[in-house]
Amino acid sequence: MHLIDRVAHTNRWSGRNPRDKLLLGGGLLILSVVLPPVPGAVLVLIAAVTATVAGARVPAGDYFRVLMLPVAFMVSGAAVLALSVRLDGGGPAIAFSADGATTALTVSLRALAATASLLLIILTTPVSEFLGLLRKIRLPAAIVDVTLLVYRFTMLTAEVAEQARISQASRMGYTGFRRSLRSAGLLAASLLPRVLDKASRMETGLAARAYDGDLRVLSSPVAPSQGFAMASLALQGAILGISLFWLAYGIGGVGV
Amino acid sequence: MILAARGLRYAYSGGLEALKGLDLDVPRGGRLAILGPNGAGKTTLLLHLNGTLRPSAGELLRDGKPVAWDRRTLTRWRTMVGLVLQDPDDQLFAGNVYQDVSFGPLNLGLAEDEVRQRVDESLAAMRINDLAERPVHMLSGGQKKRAAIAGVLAMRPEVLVLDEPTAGLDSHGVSHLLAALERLSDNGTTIVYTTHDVDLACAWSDTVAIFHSGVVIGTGTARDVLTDGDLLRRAHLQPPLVFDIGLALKELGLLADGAPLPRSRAEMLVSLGQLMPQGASQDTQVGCSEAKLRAVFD
Repeated sequence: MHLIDRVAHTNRWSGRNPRDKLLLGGGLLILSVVLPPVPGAVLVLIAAVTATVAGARVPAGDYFRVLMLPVAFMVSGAAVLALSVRLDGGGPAIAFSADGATTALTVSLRALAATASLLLIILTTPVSEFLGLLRKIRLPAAIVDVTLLVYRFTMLTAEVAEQARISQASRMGYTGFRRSLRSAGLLAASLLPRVLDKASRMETGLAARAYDGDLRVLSSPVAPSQGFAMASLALQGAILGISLFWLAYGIGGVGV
Repeated sequence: MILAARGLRYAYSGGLEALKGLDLDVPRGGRLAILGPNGAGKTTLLLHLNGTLRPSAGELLRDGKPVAWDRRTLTRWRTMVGLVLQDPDDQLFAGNVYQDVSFGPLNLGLAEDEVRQRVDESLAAMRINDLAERPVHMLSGGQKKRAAIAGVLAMRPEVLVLDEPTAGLDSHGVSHLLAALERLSDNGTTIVYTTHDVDLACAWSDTVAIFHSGVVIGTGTARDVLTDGDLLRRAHLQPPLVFDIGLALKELGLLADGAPLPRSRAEMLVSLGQLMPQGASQDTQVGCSEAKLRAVFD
């Protein structure tokens, strides 16, 4: 969480108008879903990773650390698709089928491309900017406010929890399995009242600034870039064109 | 008096009485330090000054007139009296500093241009324009404090009320903060703050109110109040270091009897500079010799 947040604030595109990034990432996401995985998803994957790492200069190490989590889910899901349990002849046996493998591969490719497109938006756009965009597209204020508070309190809770963990660890709270379990339990139990207390003090702070139940804020103004939008559309057009060409002249046998 | 409290009483649920018939005057345009030990109820008092808490007895006066507690009055009251909490994390909620500072003026229903102008102005007053895009959890303690104050300033309060403004700040953070408050004070903003730091209250105030067990037991200039040994003892406070040294210097005849006591480190250094021998010549103006000074400070 902290990693994503830090990257989102420090990359080269973090100051860009979020509409730019939504157009690029959202367009790629749609392409990854509607086009056949080969070559569509492959092209989208290459484009999204290149844009994030080379364009926005998100450090490659950070990028792959964030990517690892969804990839782990994909791999376990794909394994189930590729393997099947055979019950004919003797006891149950695990079998590998070519059909299953093809399905696993195409599903994984598509999922990976879609994830990379989402990461392009998530890793380059600070949450605060994103919320401004949600407001602009007229999402109900209550939803945006709750999103904002969840984000802020997640960060606060993480900070409080980290402090408490350090304090426990420095008093030998995490030596041995039983003691670790006990300490973690105590920490979790003490977290809620502490965060609630913080929340009520925050309410006083907000009331002091004439809070009327609506958390409106302004972002510093950055206009969307015409050039960026054109480049995004051109890239997406190229991916679409290549995929259609590929389909029409039937190079690949793999398709959905 | 821009704000005043008369016979203020307040008890928390559970019966703990934090204010016990307190009187307080806040002079317009002045700098008022409310000095008292930790846990004495100073924060409770501040929360009354902007209408967050409602006293169980007594009244609050704004420009000499008792205040009402309806919604509209409260909004106007809180716009006029800006409250800065001790922990800036209780106040900063938005994603980044710019957004957080824009929150107050937007609540006043101002147009976007006006809001942007006020945000820029408040960031400039706190000298944090370069932090505008920084997410609030990536600020240092001192920066958070100044961001929280900027958020309140954007509402252009006539009175700025700060709870323990220097608590938890390093000396660099404190001097930045005091410089910013000094500029606001020079522009006519009334400043009220609580502190348990006697030296701070001595150096940076026009009026000091000594707060003890739910009442104000003494009010006056730092030189009047903070030299009153009985008063300080009752409030469990020690006299400021600069006064102790100043009085010692007077005792030794190094500082003229009628001369005012130095109130801050800077003033102390100035009076010491006047005492110190210039070059080789022994300064005889105040009848002091280097040996005598050494005797005092070694």
